[in-house]
Amino acid sequence: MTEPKPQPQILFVDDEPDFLQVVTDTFSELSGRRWQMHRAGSADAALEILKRQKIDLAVVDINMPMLDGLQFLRILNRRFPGVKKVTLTAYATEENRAACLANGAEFFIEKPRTVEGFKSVFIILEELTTWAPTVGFHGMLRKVGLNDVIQMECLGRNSSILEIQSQQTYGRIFIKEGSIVHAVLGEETGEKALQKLLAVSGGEFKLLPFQAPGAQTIDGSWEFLLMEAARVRDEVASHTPAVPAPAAAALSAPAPALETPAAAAPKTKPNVVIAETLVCSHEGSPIYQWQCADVLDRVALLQNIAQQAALLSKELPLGKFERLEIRQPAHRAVALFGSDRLIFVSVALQPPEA
Amino acid sequence: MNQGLSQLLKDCAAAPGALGGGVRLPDRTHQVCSYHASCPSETLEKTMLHLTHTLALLSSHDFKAQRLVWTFSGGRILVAIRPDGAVFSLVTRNDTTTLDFFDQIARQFYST
Repeated sequence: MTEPKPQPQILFVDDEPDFLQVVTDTFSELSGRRWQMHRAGSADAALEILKRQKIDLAVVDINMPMLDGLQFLRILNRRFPGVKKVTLTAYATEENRAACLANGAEFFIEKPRTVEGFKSVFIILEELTTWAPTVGFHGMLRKVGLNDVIQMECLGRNSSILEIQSQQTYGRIFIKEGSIVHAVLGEETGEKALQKLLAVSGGEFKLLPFQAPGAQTIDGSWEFLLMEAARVRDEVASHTPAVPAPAAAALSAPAPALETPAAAAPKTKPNVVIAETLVCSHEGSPIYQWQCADVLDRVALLQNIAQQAALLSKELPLGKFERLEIRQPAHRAVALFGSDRLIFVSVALQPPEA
Repeated sequence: MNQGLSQLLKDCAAAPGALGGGVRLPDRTHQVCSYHASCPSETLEKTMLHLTHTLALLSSHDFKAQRLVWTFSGGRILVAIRPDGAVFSLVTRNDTTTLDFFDQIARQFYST
């Protein structure tokens, strides 16, 4: 007995309702009603669908009036990394093509206008829906500790270089056939460098192909090395006062500006509790974060705000953009745009204690 | 466009340092009003579009904003958002009394 073909979930995002209708009708017919199609007339409508429905492939028009297709691709990459992406456009230029592919689109396709054109696009999309890794898994892990990655590499007796980047820290850990053989952090090497790298609380890592280091500065079992690093980390933590609250409080300095005299009219002011803080570079590298549930998501938000602010700055005679304050019923947030970094602080307003 | 909202836009001409204002309704109809030559209607139309983009962006990150204050070195864009999605915005030069004025305008906007 042959298994029925899977029913791919395809999301079409386009602000032209007529095109959406034609494309979904045509592809429904071409797929023998097998494709499950979802339509969204805007990026925000598409995000609503993505929140409630698992989507395999998103086909996105890049010229949309609200969030354009490129910004939407960036959000997809951050929030729905498992979704395959294809961009469609009526205005194919080399610049658009390069930007779409650089932002994670698998294909950049010109909008079909003829029956033959629709058939060609269907064949490409059909092929894409069947792509799947044949060896290993493809996915995304959130909040993975470096220890977890090292354990996976060592248990698998792999050889690799773990490149770590965080704040102003940049280092490498060399793993050869399941053993940690070398670590380097700035001028430091060996176990001290390894311990410092393993004490980094957040950042990004990459697993690179193994290349023999200039020297072997570490030996001993990886289990012992990880335990020793954990012990040193705990010891340091027990002698260090808690950093987040004062740091966050310092960063919250602009918060009073959120209150206008009229808005502050109630006699009892609410308690202001710092909910979240993020500092990152203009390039999007996180420098400091506190209680930020999804750092990449916040970085994407800040960069998109910066993009909109740049457009506003260009149009209006208001000078250089400095900050955006966002007021919600029980929250305030401020995004500050300094010359060398972006800062995001969110506070919760709680009713005053009796 | 609702008469009350049109009147509100005209009233904003009296705001200290006001350059222009705009209203956008959930049905995508909008109206802009220029109070100063440095901020013509075409510029305000584009501004409304960028503000709408930003609100969609914030919404996609689970921020349901009631107010936005964009601060630039030489002025501000003050934005009030009604629960039905209607948006009122005022572009102003730097003036410390503008925020008070906009608070009154925003209250009227919420009740219009």
